[in-house]
Amino acid sequence: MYLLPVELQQQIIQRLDPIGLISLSHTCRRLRHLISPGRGKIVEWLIALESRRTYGPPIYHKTTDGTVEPDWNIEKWEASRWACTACLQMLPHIAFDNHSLLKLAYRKPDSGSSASTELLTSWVPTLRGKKWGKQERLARANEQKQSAQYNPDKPCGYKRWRRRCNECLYQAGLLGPQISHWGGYMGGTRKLPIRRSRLLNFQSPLDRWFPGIAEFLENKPPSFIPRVFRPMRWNTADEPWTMYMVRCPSCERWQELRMFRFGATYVNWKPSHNGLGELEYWATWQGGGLKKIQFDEISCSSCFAAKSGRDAMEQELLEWFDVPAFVYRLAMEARLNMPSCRLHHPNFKIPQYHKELRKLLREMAAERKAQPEALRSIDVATLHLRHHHFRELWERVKENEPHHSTIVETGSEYFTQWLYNFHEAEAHWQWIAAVQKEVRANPGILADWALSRNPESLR
Amino acid sequence: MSTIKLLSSDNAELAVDKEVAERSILIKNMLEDVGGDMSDQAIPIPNVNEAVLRKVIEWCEHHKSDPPPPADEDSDSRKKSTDIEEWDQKFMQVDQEMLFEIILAANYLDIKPLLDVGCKTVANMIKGKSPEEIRKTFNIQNDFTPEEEDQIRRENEWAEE
Repeated sequence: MYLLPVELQQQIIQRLDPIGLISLSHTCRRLRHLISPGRGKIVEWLIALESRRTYGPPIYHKTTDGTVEPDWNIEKWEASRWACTACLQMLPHIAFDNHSLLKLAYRKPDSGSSASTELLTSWVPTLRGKKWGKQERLARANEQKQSAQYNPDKPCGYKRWRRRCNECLYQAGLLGPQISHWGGYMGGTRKLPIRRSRLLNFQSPLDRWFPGIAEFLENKPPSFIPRVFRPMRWNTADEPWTMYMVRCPSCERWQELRMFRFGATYVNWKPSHNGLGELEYWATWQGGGLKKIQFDEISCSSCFAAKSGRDAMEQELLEWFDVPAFVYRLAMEARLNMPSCRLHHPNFKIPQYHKELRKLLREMAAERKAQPEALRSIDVATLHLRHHHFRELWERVKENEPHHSTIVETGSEYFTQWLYNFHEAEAHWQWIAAVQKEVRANPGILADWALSRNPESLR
Repeated sequence: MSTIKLLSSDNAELAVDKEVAERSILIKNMLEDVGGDMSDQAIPIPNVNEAVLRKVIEWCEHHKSDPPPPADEDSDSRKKSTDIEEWDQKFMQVDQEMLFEIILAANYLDIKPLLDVGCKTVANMIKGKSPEEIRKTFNIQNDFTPEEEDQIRRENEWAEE
């Protein structure tokens, strides 16, 4: 090949794929000079490279039900890489927002499909590898568009040359507050941009905001996970939470929102603000209330510790830890009290056990009224005893009045969860109560946790 | 059907149908210039030896019924694909020296479709290979200085497979 005249070498080069073109330019000085791959060719190369199996499979997103394949199992995504056509690098998924990976126009084509293998380089043998006239540019753009829509059955990935990572978008000044359809502003501020990231399942608010904290505690969590107490999600142990990547203005690193020590404890919460970068959220549950933060003034835990000292960070983390911990505790407490069910209806009677059941229900209702806002250990012990009495009575009802017991249990998920899974909620209540005590006595645990974490990690 | 004679660089005379020979734009133009009558005289092809010429004639015979390629080179859709017909693939299963000789002959004789098939075959040999593999395949000498190599390696460190 080396001995062919230059014009024939150029004919061969024109028929190369983008990967072959760059590989050939790396073989020797003469071919490097002849090809002189510019930015456009490097972009083509990256886009061709990311389609290869070694850079991970494409992620399929079904817009009808929001599911993705492979599942939101981030471990499977970690080895994959996507091309950023601005900084010309292959980056992991956390560097991009969801649209850049999942939208049809930005998605990787199937590995081995004609879309990923039949692309030819746009290299032409002219000065700097391109014809620069307006007509040539227009013709080339049209050609690229047509060659990108290679596969009419799966026209995916035809805008990948426009994919940019979060940092490149930030550097280009394209990130900042955007008015959102549910009110408020999303996207953070220009100084503290926030980008929506993956949707991951967590077992509780505590798990979402402080993942892996149990490893730092002396009190270890129960070996079983409490089931979700929510209609349509019975018998599941986790719920999907949206991750957000935030750029710390001090260290200029993109980190998950949890490293900034604010948020909320319900699944659908979004970090929206009032347009001026101010956000109000429930910061404390006991004698506190709303806390207002200014986005432009916050920084990640590491930067906060470096600036204000470890003690200040411990205090701030402790204050923030109390929110999900308390909500978790409240959620467990709600599961300890007997929920409303058919037995509470005045016209529903189980003849043989009517009086006994009514008496027990009346006593439980009276005790519930007398309960303090936050349960104490003695209250939980009383609830345990009542549950035990009720369970005993209910076993007898089931044995002697199976028809009635079936009527009560059918379609009453809250009641059956309380009846049969009371011990789960009780164990987790005991655990979280012990954890709150432990953390208040030694807030350094939280600082250790925060400073030992990989800030980019989503889990 | 009239036949003409072609004279290779090593003085071998090969008889070939005029229709087949006219796949070469060079020969076609030459025949037109002399009025089409070359039955008694061999056309010299000084840049192509007998073995290569026989291969080129074999290709032209197989493709004699193909429509002529478009005149406008830029709009040539053949370039936009790496597909090669099965017969052409088998035809191109020759050693590298012969492959490049065929490409040179196709270029000299101005047989665009054959040149295209030859270039695609070489391009497919490069496809999916690393720079080192390409060097081995085509016996290319790595003449980068250590500094240049380092620079290339740094530029593409994350993309190496």
